[in-house]
Amino acid sequence: MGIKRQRDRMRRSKILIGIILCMMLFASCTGMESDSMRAEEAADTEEQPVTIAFAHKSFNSYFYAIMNESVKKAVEERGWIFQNSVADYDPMRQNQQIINFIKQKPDAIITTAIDSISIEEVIRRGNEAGIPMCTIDTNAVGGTLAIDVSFDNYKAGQLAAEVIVEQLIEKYGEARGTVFNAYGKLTSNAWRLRKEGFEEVINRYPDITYVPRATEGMPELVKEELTKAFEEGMEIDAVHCSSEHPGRGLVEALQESGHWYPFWKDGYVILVTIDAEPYFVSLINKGYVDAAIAQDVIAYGNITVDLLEDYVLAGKEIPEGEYFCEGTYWQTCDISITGKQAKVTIPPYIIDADNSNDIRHWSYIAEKLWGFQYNK
Amino acid sequence: MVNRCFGMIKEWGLNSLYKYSIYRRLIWCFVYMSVLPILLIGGYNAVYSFSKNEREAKMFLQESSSQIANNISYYMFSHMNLLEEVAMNPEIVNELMIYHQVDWNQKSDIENHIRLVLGSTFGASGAVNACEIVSVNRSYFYYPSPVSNGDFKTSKLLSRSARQVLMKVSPKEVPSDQNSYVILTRSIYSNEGCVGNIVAALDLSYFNKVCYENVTNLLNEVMIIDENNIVISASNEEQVGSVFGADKMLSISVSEPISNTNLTIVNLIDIQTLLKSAFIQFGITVFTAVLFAVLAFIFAILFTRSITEPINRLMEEMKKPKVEKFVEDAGNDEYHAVIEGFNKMSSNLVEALQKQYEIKLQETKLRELRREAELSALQQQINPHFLYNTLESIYWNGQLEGDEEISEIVNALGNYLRVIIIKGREYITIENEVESVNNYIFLQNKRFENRIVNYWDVSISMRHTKIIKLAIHPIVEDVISANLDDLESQIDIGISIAGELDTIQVTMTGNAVEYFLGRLDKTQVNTRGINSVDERLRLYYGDAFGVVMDKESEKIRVTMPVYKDNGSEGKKQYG
Repeated sequence: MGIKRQRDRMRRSKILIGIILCMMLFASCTGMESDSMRAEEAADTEEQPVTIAFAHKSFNSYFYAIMNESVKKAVEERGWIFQNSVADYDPMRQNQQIINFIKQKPDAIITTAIDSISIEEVIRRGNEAGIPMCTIDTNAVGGTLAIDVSFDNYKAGQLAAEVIVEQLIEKYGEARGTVFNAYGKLTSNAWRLRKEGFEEVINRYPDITYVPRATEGMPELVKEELTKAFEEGMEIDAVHCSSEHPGRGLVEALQESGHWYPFWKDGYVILVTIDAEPYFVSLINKGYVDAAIAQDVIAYGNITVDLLEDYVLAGKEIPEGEYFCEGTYWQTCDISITGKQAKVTIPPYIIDADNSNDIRHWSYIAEKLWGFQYNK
Repeated sequence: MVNRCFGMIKEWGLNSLYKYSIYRRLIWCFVYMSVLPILLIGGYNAVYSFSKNEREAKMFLQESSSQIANNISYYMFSHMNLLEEVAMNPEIVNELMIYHQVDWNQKSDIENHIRLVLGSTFGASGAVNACEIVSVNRSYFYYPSPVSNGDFKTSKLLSRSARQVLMKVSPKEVPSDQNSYVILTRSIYSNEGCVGNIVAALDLSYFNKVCYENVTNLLNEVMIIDENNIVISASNEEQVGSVFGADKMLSISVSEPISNTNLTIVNLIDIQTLLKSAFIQFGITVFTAVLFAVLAFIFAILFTRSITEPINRLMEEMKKPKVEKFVEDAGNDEYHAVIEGFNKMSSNLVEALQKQYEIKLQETKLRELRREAELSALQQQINPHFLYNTLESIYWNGQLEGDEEISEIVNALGNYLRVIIIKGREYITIENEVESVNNYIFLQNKRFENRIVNYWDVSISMRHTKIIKLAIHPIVEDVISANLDDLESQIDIGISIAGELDTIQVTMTGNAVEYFLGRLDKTQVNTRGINSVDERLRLYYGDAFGVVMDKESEKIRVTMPVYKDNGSEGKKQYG
């Protein structure tokens, strides 16, 4: 009994000493810690943000500058990383730039093809690397494109011709007169389609004299050809250019040949263009231009990045059919699926004196909101 | 004097302490001794820690601020230099002058060239969010997007006069982008005058990065303020855009102007952060102190109880008017010895009291017995002479009539009564006691036809030894009375009396004794005489003396002391 009690006492003493030592250790440790006040940094566990590369064909026009900005803003609005390159219309350079992007393994590559054929090889390389390849404005003829956003150039040409025909009917009471068309390079798919669409409508009216002129998409040639036509004594009722960048040549030719009048004055020449850049929208407001067929360049970037985010990068299939584009004047576009390719077609629409001040036009957004001033 | 004061204080202190119980004094002693040192050391550590932290914080802020200011200054200097390079580039100057005069092909070339220059100059930096060159003729060159509104009349970013790079922190003049940037502007001059303006918007991300990366262990805050004290970048993003000042009063701050800019770097540590360290330390100390206090309190209670409880138990026992039970203690300390001593003392005391009580009781009983005996004797002495005279008359009448038997009986009865009713004598000789027994047996034999046979074994030398009166007779009477129930048997009883030192041993044997002892447990046997003798012997001489009825040896033994005539009648000499 006595031995047991003695053992209990010894055990209690040991426990007591243990508790006191632990407390002293705790107090000394916490004291040291508070003295140094070291805070551990949180582990860097953030995911790598999505990176989108954009291989642009050129900055050398207002339209392409805005195209670049639209993709950039759409990407950066999502907190993603935007990388871009500009090939300045050099297809080989563009291909090399895309190959460089592929090596960096971005989440997707968007490009505006300078040469739809030669770009095929790099599109295939992108496919092999498992990178979604997308084109906007001008596409590639080969390879698999996750998203191909293009403009309905044929329809745009038709709309431009229809506006001119309407104006001729208004002027003469019937569809007759002379229509001058300064079309761009036919090697460009877009310009070719616009020309074909334009001619498809014009050719419906045999009383209309159609004067097509190849201008290579260069404003100097446009100006030269129209000036030459006036000098030849042609009575031109309407002029058209398949893009507004070369279309500035029409304006200068009209101005310099004494045909630059607003629509309410005699001698007024009907002027319809495609693109609807701010300069031509301002001319609509001033009465010098009848209409511009809008090619919503801002929608290129928005739609492409939207589809990438919602479907392609999320591993979902893009649904076929009508696609709603919030904030646009045209509201909806069509998506068609061929194999694994989604083809988005942005519809053209007419900007004339009735709707030229609508804030949904890309020209308004680019100039008034984004601050891009137009070099005349 | 000092000693006196010290003595007074000591006396006062002790007197104050005496007002409280030992229990409370010990508890407070334990608690104070455990907690106070911890609190004092903790408090000192907290204050020391705060002052040390403050000193180190100031040094750290100074060094850190200088380094940050140098870094930002170099960063700004390099970007300003880039702007200078572009603004001073003769090709750019020339292109701006001719742009509006040339054809579209040349315009395109100029646009490409300027864009390439801007791209090659600012593209590698990664810090330039946007850059533009605006000519006075309203030609615009963006890389990749605009910064100003493009109008020299309304823009706050465009100037025709600045011949050096100016900087300000503001949003772009683009409605879609209202983030703040470091805007660098410079006019582009030709020999003929200003031809345009270059504007670059630098991301604040570098500043934010610098602010964020120079926060050490979440202790300090780094912010960059402009000339209007507006915070343009800060490690704490919530501070950006606010006016630096009022809410930073309770902080240690170091301001360092950034050369080449109108910016100032402010590096500060909130006092609360420093106090927090001290508070944490003090909090831990308080926690430890409380923990120790609780433990000390528990230990104090245990230790104090271990000291005071034995005392309390002793006190409780002492307070009781009489000792009911001894104090129990399982300890092995000094108190155990004290309690053992107390218990022993209490035991002795109880024993002494018991003895005293027994003696008193004995004396009381003796007094009562004596009183009764005296009363009885008095009663019997009323007519002893009358009884003797009567027996004398009967004796002589028997002689005269020739009836010797009656004379013998009367003579025996008279002798028998003389011994029993003898006045004033408590002690008689053994011879007298033997004679008394013989007379009794003679008389009984007369009655029961000599059935009783007795024999004595008494030394002649003991004839005159005195013993207490009627120490043998009542026993013989009880034994014979029990045997007389069996009328046919002969009753043998042997009585031996032996002496050793001062003790007399009377032993009774024989079939009468055996029969008597055999009937003790079976039937009601009269033992009044035996009990009386035993009681008297024990009362007179103690428990060492008395009557023993030994069933195993079938003997009755009577032990008594020899009476010594010293006036006390031999009482209490054998206790």
